[in-house]
Amino acid sequence: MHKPAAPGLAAPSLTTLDTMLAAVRQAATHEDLLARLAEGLRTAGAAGVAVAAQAEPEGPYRTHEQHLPEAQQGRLAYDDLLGAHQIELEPWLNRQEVQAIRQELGAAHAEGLWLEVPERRLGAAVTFDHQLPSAEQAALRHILVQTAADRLHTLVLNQTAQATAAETTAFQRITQAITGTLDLEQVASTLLSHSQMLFKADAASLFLIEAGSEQLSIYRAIGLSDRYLANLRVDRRSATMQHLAGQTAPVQIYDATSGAISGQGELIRAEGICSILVAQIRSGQELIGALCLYSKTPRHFTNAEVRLSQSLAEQASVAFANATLHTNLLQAANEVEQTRNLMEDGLVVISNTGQLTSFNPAAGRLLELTADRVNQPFIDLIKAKLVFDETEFTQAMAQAQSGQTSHATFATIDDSQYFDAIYSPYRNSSGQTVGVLVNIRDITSLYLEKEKLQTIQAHLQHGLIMMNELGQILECNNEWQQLFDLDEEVLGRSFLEAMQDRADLSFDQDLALLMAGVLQGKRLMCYAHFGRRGRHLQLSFGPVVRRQRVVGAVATARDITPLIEKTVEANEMAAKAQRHLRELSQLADLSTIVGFNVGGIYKKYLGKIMGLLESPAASIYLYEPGRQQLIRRQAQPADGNDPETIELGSRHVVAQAFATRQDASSDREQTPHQLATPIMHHSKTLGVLLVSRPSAVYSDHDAKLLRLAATRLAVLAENATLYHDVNARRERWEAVFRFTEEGIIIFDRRGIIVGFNPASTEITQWPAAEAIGQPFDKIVKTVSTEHAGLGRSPLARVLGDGMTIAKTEQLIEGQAGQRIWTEVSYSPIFDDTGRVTSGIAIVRNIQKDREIDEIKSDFISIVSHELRTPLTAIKGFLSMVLKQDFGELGDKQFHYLSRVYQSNQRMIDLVEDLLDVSYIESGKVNLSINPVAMENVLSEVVSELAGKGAANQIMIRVKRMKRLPLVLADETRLHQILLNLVDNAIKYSMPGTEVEVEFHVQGDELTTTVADHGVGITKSQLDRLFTKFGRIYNPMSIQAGGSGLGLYIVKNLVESHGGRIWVTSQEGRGSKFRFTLPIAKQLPLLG
Amino acid sequence: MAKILLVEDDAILVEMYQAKFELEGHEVRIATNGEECLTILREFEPELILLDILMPKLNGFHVLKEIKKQPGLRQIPVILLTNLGQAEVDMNQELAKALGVSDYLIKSHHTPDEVVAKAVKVLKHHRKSN
Repeated sequence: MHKPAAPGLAAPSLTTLDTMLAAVRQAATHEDLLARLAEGLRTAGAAGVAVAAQAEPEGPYRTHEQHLPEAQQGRLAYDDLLGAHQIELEPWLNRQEVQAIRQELGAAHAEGLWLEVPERRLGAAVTFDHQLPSAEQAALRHILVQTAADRLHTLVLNQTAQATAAETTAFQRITQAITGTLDLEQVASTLLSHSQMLFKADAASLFLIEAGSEQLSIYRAIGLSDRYLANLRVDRRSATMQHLAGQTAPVQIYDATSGAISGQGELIRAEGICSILVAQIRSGQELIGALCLYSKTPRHFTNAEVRLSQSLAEQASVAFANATLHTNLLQAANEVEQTRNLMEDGLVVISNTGQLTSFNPAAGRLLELTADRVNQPFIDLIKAKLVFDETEFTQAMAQAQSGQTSHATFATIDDSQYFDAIYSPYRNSSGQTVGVLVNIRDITSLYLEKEKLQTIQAHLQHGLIMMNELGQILECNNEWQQLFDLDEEVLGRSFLEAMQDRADLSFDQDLALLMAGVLQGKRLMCYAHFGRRGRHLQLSFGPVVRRQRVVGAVATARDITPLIEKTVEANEMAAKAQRHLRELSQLADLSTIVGFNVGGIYKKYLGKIMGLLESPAASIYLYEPGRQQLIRRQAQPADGNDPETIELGSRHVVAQAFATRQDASSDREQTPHQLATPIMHHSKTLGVLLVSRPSAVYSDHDAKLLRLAATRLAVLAENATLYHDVNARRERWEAVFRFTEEGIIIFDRRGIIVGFNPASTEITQWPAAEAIGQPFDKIVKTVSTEHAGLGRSPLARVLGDGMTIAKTEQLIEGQAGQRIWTEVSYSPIFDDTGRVTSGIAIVRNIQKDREIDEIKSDFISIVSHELRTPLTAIKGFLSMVLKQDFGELGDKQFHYLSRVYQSNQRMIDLVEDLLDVSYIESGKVNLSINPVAMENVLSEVVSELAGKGAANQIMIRVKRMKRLPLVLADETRLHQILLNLVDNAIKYSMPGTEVEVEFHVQGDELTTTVADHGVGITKSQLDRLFTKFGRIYNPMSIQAGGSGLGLYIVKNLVESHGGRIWVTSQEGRGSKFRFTLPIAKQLPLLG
Repeated sequence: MAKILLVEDDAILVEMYQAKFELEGHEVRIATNGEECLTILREFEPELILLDILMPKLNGFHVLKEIKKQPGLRQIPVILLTNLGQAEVDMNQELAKALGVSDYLIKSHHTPDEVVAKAVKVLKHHRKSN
């Protein structure tokens, strides 16, 4: 780079001028020339100089020299501004860049001078000056520029001539190289290597558009990376390609890195490529590829280079065309050979005289022909293999020879293969028929397929129609004909014509449109209704496609009537189910109505029923037993037309429903329609439910719903009645509870008091509020009891065993410690399942009774004692007198004194019985229960009464039992019981009979039977037998004597042992008294 | 032959039982109430006591309890005699047993003969066991 000269040089001398001009004139290259020119201009006073010039005719201003400050180097864009040749220097000099340089240089002005020869402008020089150049300097500059222009012209012309010569040589070489071969690869590589050399390019590539591809890719390249080759793809439709195709001349890309090739900027930058020259390769007008030359430095390809590249591309195009043609020819030849070998159709040529002339391999395979069969009669060769009709063959041959093509099918003898044969004339090159060409095709598989198809068609339950692409019917199976009642022949007819316009056949779609769709390749479906048969049919259509072309259509049809019917049925059922569901939910709603406010319930209920039965009016009538009427208890709407009362037996539907206990409805003609149903609870008719509506007659189903509603209503009504009943009872009970004089105490399962009435407070002195929640035993504190229980407390037995304990006398201690006699009864309270949930105790204050009883008891004791003492004395003394302890008695004396003794004894017995009765009635019989051996007691009784029996000629017979169990009894009382019964038996027995005593064990009890053979007891007597003074007046009773209290006492004694006593008797035959006593199974808890 | 103490407040009955027992050859001492009975027992040791229950002053059970308290007396067998009813006898039966009574008789149920027979039976039994 030249240093800018110091400004303000003095004008050069003439010598200097000559030297400068000589230097310019002698410049060998144009770079040299421009440098010398710039030097000269600076010598001529310019502070700064910039020159630019063409390197070749018509080329851009490629070469330039600048004598400018470093910072301003390159700022003047000659290419853009001067290279166009259209811009005048003057405006250019006013450009911003030029002005900037001026300022930098401190120059006053800038001036431009064209480097011109006549008719041609070759470049320009720009000078910057601090002050206007002198006339001398200006002249000098003009001379310099003019001289430089002349020299430049010469240089350019020379260079062009040289270049042209070199190019021509190179071009010839390339042309020779690439047209000298038919190998595409070789053409490409030669072209690239020579082009690279010729253009001194860094790299070269050949793009080709592959057939069928949308992209331009590199076919071959030199000087480029594999990555570039693999990835560079330019879309055929991209702007770059469009541009390339649109340009007639090759295209230069000065800066390829800036994305000039769409989408490939990155790849190109990576390759270090800067400039590209692209020459189009065409076949005719079509772009088939490109030759690309790359420069890694910015480069302007010269016009000559561009033209050269275009020529090369054209040559390449020819070479490629040749190579391609060649390749194609080769390929075609191969294909022909392959076809011949691979052809599946057999070809046989038969001479006019019937001999086999030639055949292809396929024919050899199919007909088992070998080369040595040539010239033998064809018919003989195949007769052995094929089922063959000679006449037919001869005819076909004759037809073919006459120029007609004919067609035949035959099968092998073993029926394993089928052939299709086409006979056609075989002509030589001059068009003469020299034989027959037979094209034989193995159609075995086709045949089998066809057979299969026919079988399928025959067995297909669907209707099937096949059509050609015109919609004409080719096949139609029986099912189709039957489904659509087609009697006439349909083959060959148009499907549409055959199916359309039938009065009773309707389709849900336009059949013509549908067919058009099918023939366009769509699969479609439609439904038809065949009125005459009541059939619903489903039709499916599909195209028959061969090689992506629709060649026909198939239609199938099936009878879906049952399906439709089922669907209709299912829909109906669903609707029904839906309705039922709604009804059920409304019925369920009814169940949610609860409560005891009858009016409110009835009202709600009627509302629901009205909804359920779609009735605007409904009423509830209830039976009023006292009035023989049905009374309207509730009506919706309240001011409805239903009468307020209905007489039983009237003709009103309500009365009918009530009387018949069944639904009743009004006459169909009558409006509004009425439906009445009895409200029944179990077997009781409570009333009638009535609904009415003007719209529709009530159905059986409605009646059923109303019955259901009535059933539910009955429960509600009954519940309400029960509730009121219970309420009333509760009130009554509460009155009793509150005002009775007896203490009522209710306790729960644990014995905790839950109820305590005022009388209880009176007795125990415990306030109810304090007593409730306390244990029963604490409040009713028993000090002593007369109850002869076996250990378990009354409460335990009531709550645990569910026993009722009546009237036990208990001395209890009140809250303040005062003692008082009470009579307490206990009872369990059960729930529905029989479980004891609680208990109740009734406490009576018997303190006064008790005191009176005591007085009475003392009185009886004293009276009886006082009575007995004299009786004892009488008895004692008499016994001694009668025993004659104190001297003998006369007969009469003895007899009368014996009578006195007997009378006295009766008196004693009577007193005894009366006393017993008195004790029994005052409940003072105190039993000492122990396990007792019945036999021992009986033995005593028998021995006591044996004498009496004997006196009456009566035997006492005891039927003894082995291992008679012990009984739980008071021994003395048991003795008394047995004595009484056996004594009675003796008394009432006929003389000479037996009194029998026997025992039976039954469960936990021992039954003792005392039987006599006496007069028996009449039925009327039986009833009062065990009552007080139930004395039996019968023929023997007078002599039997007795107080008439005996059986009464026995019965009471047996029962206070927990036993039973009863009698069976036959008049005149005798009686059997039986009583039971509990068996002692284990040691009693109290000894 | 045995020494018997008869405790009875009713004079007629005393006469009756005494006549019978003496007739049978027994030696009979009489007490007409409970206190007297206890007094006699201080100087008279009977082989059997016939004891009435309802008596003035001390009743039979009190006397019985007293006898059973005294070491010299408690082994003497006692037959209770009463004219109370069966129900009352039943009521007292337990107590009587507890006090070791040999028999408990209702007077009106038995002739003097039978009472003597019972007494003899008790005596025999008592002698045997001693």
